[in-house]
Amino acid sequence: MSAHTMQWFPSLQRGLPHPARDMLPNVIAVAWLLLIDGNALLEDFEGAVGEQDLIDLLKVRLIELFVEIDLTLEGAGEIDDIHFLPLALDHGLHAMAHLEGGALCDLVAPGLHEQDPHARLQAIWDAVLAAFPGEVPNPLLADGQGDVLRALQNWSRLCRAADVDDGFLVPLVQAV
Amino acid sequence: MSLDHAPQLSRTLAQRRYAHSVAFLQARDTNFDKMLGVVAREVAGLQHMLLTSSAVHGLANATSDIDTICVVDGDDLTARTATQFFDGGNHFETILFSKNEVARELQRLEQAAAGSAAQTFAAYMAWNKNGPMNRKYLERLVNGVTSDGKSPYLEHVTALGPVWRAASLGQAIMSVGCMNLAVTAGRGQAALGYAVNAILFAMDAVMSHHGQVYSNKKWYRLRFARFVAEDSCVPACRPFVAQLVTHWDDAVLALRDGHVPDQMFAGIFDTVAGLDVAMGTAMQQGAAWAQAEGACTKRFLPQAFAQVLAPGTVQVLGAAPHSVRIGDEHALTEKEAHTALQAIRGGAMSITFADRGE
Repeated sequence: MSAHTMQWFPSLQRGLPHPARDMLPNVIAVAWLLLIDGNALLEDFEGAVGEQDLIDLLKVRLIELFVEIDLTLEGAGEIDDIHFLPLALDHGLHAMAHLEGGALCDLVAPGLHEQDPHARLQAIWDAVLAAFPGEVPNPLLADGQGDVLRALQNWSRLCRAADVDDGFLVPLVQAV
Repeated sequence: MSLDHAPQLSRTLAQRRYAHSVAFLQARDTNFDKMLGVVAREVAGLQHMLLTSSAVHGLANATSDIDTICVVDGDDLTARTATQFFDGGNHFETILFSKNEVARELQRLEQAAAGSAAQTFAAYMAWNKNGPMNRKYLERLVNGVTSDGKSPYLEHVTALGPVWRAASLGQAIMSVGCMNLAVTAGRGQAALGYAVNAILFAMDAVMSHHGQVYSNKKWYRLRFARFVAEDSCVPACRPFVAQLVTHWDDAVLALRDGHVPDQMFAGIFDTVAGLDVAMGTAMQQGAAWAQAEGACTKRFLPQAFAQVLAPGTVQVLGAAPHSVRIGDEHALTEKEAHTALQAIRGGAMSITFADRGE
């Protein structure tokens, strides 16, 4: 199965209702991981051409990010990050995708000597973003900051409408 | 505790960093003056604008961020956000701290470095809750470079080094403890994941021991390769540095091919223990996993327990977890080791380091 044919975010694709107090903080935290951490990491790959030591570690970081997204979607976003890679290798992904640890490792391929893995990994990342509801803004672009602020405003209104305390958005606003 | 190998904090280091910084900005078709011009229009009372992060360490590449910190006159800031500035085709980030805040946080850093390694680890872990400048910005401040080629806070790297060393060594010890539990529990792939973390944190501990401090984990391996190439390691750490290089190569090969060399896990455990002795940190002896503060165990079903955790979270386990000392994991049964690992991940058990009162 390739990154393009596999189903990313299967639980979101099903579109089932969930208690808003759980769903909104989790899915917004995932959007934040995608737009901040993910976009920055993919940009890192672009700049790491020819640096195998850096590339291997960035690939480990990408696997860790996938697991962080997976855990966050499941409501277990407080787990210490020293457990991300072990959980990835041992248990794979369950919420972001149905993928065993070995298959996840094969997908990202740490240790594989590639002069420039950016294009290959960007294609995977694009498939991930395409499966997430809506267009995920990129704050690294000049016009991306405004998109992020608008998303934060929308999320605040959404929380109020769903009677959910939007205090968890404060650190996100401070980080923009 | 201080560094036994204090780095040469001469002007040479600041000059080298300034040269890295100028070259980086030039490659981005900008310079300190242009950036200062953009910032000075927006920031009142500007005392220092420090270029930070990969650019000053000579690691930056074509897509690296341009990160800055601004130190300003005046009272403590009531609101603080990282702000993006756009300078032509470049964007750079800055965050503001007042002079008073900087002075207080540097004093807190010196106090954190003065305790035993175990106390220093605790101070590092609690750092972000007790002051306005989180750890990432503290490290950037100390290592930051100004437009006149100075690094006004670099003298504090003698305190930054021990704090970051204790933090990374502590995480390396936690990782080898979990690695041993995973091996005992028959979870070889999880053990490999912990092994990778143990190696990386041990690399960072050694570099911090030599005053080479930089927070971002993504750079650990590349920085370590350059550290090895410099050949400036103190003799006591030298054998362990060579072992870390071998362990990393083995671990990456194992990630690619799934083949874990015999004795790799035992070798990594010994390397971390040896480094702890070589650096005089004495953290591993007496370190143990114990029930976390605020957690309690309740019966769920026969042969099943629930851990009620502090922030209103519950974790269901197949057995009640027991405390275990780092290095004693192999005495557990497979089920006990697996339960302990689950409890550690869930936060029901946390690490304790014996305070040796140094």
